[in-house]
Amino acid sequence: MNSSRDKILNAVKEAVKIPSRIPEKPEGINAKIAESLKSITPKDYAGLRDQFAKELDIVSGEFVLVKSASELVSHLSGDMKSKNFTSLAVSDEISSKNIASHIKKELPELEFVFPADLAPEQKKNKLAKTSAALVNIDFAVADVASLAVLIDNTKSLFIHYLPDCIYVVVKPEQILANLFELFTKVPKEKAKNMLLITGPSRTADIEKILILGAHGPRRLVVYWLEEK
Amino acid sequence: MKLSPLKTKKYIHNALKDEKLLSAVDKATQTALKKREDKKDQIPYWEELRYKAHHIKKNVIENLDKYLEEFEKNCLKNGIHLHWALDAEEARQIILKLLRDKNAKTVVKSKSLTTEEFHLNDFLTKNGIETLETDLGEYIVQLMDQIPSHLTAPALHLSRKEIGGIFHKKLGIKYTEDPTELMTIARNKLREKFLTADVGISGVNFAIADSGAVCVVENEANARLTVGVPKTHIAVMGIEKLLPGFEELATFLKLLGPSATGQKATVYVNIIGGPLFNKLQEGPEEMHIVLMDNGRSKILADPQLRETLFCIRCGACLNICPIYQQIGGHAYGWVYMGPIGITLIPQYLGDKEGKYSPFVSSLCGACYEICPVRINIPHHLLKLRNRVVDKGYSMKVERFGINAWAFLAKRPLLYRFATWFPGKFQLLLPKGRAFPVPGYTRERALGTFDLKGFRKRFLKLKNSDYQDIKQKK
Ligand code: SF4
Repeated sequence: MNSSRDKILNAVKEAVKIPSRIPEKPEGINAKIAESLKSITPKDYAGLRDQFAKELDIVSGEFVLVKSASELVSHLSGDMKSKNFTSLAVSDEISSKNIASHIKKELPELEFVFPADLAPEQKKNKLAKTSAALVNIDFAVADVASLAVLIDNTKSLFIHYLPDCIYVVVKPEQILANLFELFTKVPKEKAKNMLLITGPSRTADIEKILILGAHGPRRLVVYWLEEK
Repeated sequence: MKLSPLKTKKYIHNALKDEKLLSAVDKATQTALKKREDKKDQIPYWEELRYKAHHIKKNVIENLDKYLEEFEKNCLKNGIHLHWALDAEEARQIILKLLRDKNAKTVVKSKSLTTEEFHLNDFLTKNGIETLETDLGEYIVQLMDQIPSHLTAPALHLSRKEIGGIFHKKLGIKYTEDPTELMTIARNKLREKFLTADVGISGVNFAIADSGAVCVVENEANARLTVGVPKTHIAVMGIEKLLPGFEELATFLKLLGPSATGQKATVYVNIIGGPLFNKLQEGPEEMHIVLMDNGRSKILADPQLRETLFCIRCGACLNICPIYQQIGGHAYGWVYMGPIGITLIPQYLGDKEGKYSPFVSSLCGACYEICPVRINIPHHLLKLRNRVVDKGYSMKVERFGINAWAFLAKRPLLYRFATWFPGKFQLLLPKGRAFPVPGYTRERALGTFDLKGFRKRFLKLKNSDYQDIKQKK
């Protein structure tokens, strides 16, 4: 216990004893919000997916619908080749590693970086120099095109923001309608370490001109994997 | 750059003459307003959400002691070190000690207006610690030796030419005014600093009481790099930033993006509930939170003005304010500017130092209409104006004017003469010249006096139109 703590808490305790002269909110607000949300939320999966795609486009992210892992591999390899990328960081999940092994066949000269194998000091420097990353996320939020990464379920966060281009694989079951649903669904023990990503990093600090790729990734590509 | 709200009149006079400033502020505020309107229109429950946010904040502020204790308990559970700072000096010393303990040479900072309250950058620099702002706008104003001129767009007052000039001068690079090139230069300079800095210092947008976590919202990824790369993360927050839980956070995230930058969602929402090194083998091994009072508990003690603690620093009230649009942010003379700034200045710095601030408003009410948490700013400004007058800090000339009016108002004959005279006197002036009032008419015209005068017109109204109106009723 330090004395400043006690002084601040005592001052706050004294202050809150004084009743506020601030108006109350009108009745029925929560019900109205729920009703309104319902009326604007797409009714089915396809609607949510399309909403996500549209919102992602607005925030300069790229949406690629793929029907199989092999289609994903071929598109991603082609994209990397066209951009002359030389290295790809791969997140620790089995599914990412599987995709990476197939990309290796397409791009044998590509360097693969596995963050979990790197020593702590090496990790940040290596990932900061890596062209792209292949990552998984936990949820995709349709109405704002946000991707939620629960840190409890991941082995590296650096991989989500140090490389220049981020390829994200999203599966249909990960879609949620909106942020309210996200925070209701994720238990607070998990939500307390979470990263939400909505498009590539950006700034408009110079004369309000939008520039993509501020201090973080310049591109964010979402592969929406609708496997049969 | 050392500003003072006591010099606000001088700053305003200078700002009004600055065409470049006017056009930069106009462009930035109009763009932000247009984008906000567009995003808000896509949320049909926007008004209800504003009420909800207001109610959430009201509950937090009225029970702040409980939420603070809950937050403390949960932070400790998460392995976060919590430091309580009564005032600016204590906050500075806590941070300096933490940095000395870590033998820190370089600190990267991300958007934290709270630390501007106690001039942390200057203080650390004087103590031999390189302290770098990393948000592009803040990096620019730091190079210019200025402070931010807007809550969310720190360099809004500067043109690309000025920014190009300062990059050329301070960073020794070839002159360019291309925004993408300028961003790339800043990115390359700061990337290296992010990777080598000993400590990252961030602000906090929201703190979650039931989980012991903080939330930092941003677009550039500079906050992500600040909180996620160096071995130590220090988050600095005012005690009012708390929310009960994540459900409430969703409401505020929905409101903040459109209000601040006209985005439905900001690019990164960082929720940080403790150091992650043990889990990830990367990033901070230690996390500290400096919980700062610095006058907030005093604001809380006022049953009405405590509403100003609801502010989420979105900057929307600045964008819509007809005064801010004319004078920009520095003219207010402190780190908080615009409509919310002029309520905070006298509350944080005292009524004497902030005696001019509550008057830098037309009381048009646009700030209240736009505020995502429904802070009734005009209402609070009236109370603060009263306080300034009651304490005898109002301007002498104003006091003289009001007293003269009161004197005349009690003497009908004299009053009649006093209202008749200016109109007649005006006839002696060259045609088209307004009646001069020293000081007042330097920046604006008084207009011409009506020769008939209010009294005559009113009497006529009483005898004709007024009867009509009465009959219609
Ligand atoms: S007073 Fe309201 S509108 Fe102004 S910055 Fe604060 S939250 Fe935003």
